[in-house]
Amino acid sequence: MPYTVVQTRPEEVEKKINALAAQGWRVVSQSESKWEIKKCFGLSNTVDSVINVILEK
Amino acid sequence: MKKIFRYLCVGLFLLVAWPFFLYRKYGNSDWKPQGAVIVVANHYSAFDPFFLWMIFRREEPVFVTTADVKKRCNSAFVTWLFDCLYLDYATKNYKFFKDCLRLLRAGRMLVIFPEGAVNPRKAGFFDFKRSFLFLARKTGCDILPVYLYPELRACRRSSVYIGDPVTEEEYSAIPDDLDAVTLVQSRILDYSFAVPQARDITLEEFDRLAK
Repeated sequence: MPYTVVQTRPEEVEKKINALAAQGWRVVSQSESKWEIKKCFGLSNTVDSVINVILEK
Repeated sequence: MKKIFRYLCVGLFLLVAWPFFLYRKYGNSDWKPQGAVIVVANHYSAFDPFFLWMIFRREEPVFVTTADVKKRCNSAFVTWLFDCLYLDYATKNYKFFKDCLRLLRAGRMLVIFPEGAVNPRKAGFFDFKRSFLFLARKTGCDILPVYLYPELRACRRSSVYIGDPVTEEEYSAIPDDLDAVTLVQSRILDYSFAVPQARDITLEEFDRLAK
């Protein structure tokens, strides 16, 4: 079974899940975590809260 | 003159680093652009643009990068060499969008990494930002989704899956921007299963990565 992860912002998670469901993706699980996001070539780093949505198709 | 200098620099770089830049194409490997196109790809490594440049060099693609790269001399040099367009998160980017629209209207190829950041885990995807859709809606050009899996190990082939273009008819039929962006992202998600490396990741590993 193919699985993948999409990280999305908490305020958009519901809408994103619905949009992904329209493309045939089903949510297996979701969790919240803090990510250090490295911008191009690791020059600028930000820590943000994201929702990890594990999907299957 | 700059083009010759670019080819010279790339040639010298490849002479030394060629074992790290072997790749295999999947999907529409013979695809040729018909007019302006926006190439949209995931971003697992800082060398992703290099793979795309090697594949599409005849079309002379223009890359979009963040203005942060100007802070360090080596990345500033590389982005200058490839005539990148700089997106600055701190400003309104009027000039950036104007330049992008001008290039697309002239029939050029624009390469955007809509995640806006490198995802070093080489699995999964960040949220896709919507600027590429704004540019596509303004110009009516096609969007080409591409999935990249860079190995970045000597003599191991990286994978590049060239997808089916999302045409103006397809994305115009979806009025909501998030839904249209998710359509493109979903295609790239699908392509990630068509290359050998990403297929092998199990649910347990994804659970571990998500924590």
